[in-house]
Amino acid sequence: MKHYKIVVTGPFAAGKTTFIKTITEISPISTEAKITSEEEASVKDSTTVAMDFGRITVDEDYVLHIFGTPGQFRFNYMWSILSKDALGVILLVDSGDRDMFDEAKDMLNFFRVKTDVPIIIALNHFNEKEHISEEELRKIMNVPDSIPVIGCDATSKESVKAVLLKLLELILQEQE
Amino acid sequence: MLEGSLRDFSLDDLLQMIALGGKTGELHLEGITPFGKKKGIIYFENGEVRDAETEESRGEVAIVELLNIKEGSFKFVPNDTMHVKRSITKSVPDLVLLATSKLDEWNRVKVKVGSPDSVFKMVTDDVPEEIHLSQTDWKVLMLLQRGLTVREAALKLNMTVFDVAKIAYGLTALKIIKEVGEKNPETQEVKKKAPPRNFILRLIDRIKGL
Repeated sequence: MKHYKIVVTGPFAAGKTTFIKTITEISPISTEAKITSEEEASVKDSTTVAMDFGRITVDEDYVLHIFGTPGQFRFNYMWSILSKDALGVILLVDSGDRDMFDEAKDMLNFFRVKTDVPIIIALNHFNEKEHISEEELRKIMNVPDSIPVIGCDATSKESVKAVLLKLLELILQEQE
Repeated sequence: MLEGSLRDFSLDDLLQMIALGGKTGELHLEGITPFGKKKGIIYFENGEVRDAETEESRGEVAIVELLNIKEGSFKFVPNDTMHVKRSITKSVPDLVLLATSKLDEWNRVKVKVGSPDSVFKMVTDDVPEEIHLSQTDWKVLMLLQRGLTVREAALKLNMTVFDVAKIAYGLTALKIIKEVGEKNPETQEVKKKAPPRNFILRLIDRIKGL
């Protein structure tokens, strides 16, 4: 059976682990550790330190692996490892957390330099609270038109499916 | 003059006949090899190979490619070949063995080196601490990292595509280079290595059905 992978990345607390949990067909494998930093602990109790892992079996021939990266820059060695030979990258950003955008911009630049695969940006919590518009995000993060930006809700299966389908559509376009 | 199709008369039979008959002349070959169309001449003197040439190469490099023509046509023209400089000293059976072994090698390496038109890039992560490369390996590496294909590097170094592909295979296994796509020899356009379209389409259907 041949396997391919997609990487879900994004800053700390963007919703990557939730995104994978929502779509995976197996119990997600997470490498979470209790947060020791006071600042980060005010946001959530635990964080991914190595990776999250989910799976979608396509048929008897193919399987898709979904890897989630740690969000913090200090774990960026894992970003390189996990993105090697990936089909594409989903950069998840909390659309209501403006403090996150600078970090997301750095991550976008990192993946654009390190990989030459299609990247899309998924704006999490797009319908929940005051969120940034696509135009504003493109301006702040300097996102080129070739990288699609899509709103999503990482807790909704239909929404996560839409993000994955958008990425696959982009991969198909690049093959033409 | 003897002329015909390699479908009716195999190249092995033809070589055996020329060798056993002690013939002198030019064997013109044209047909399909694992690397595309190939055309060339093998020069015989008293049943022994004296030299070979294709549009791009001479000597052993040329004969290995010509002996891997599987479909095509031949023409044997009895002719004096004394004027041709001898560049090949191996016997006909040894040359056939050499060509067969190169083809076997290619069948093994093509898993990693998809095509003679494959292009590579240097891998900057995971480079082993110590690497020992021969001078030829270095020459191949330098050309591949400049964006030349296996076929183009072979031409530049006067090596067989088989031998360059084997080195590219080794460099890939050592994680020094990585195949990134395939160059169209006519348009020079590089098509990025991509997952099978079939897989993406099946994955789309699967996700839609979740």
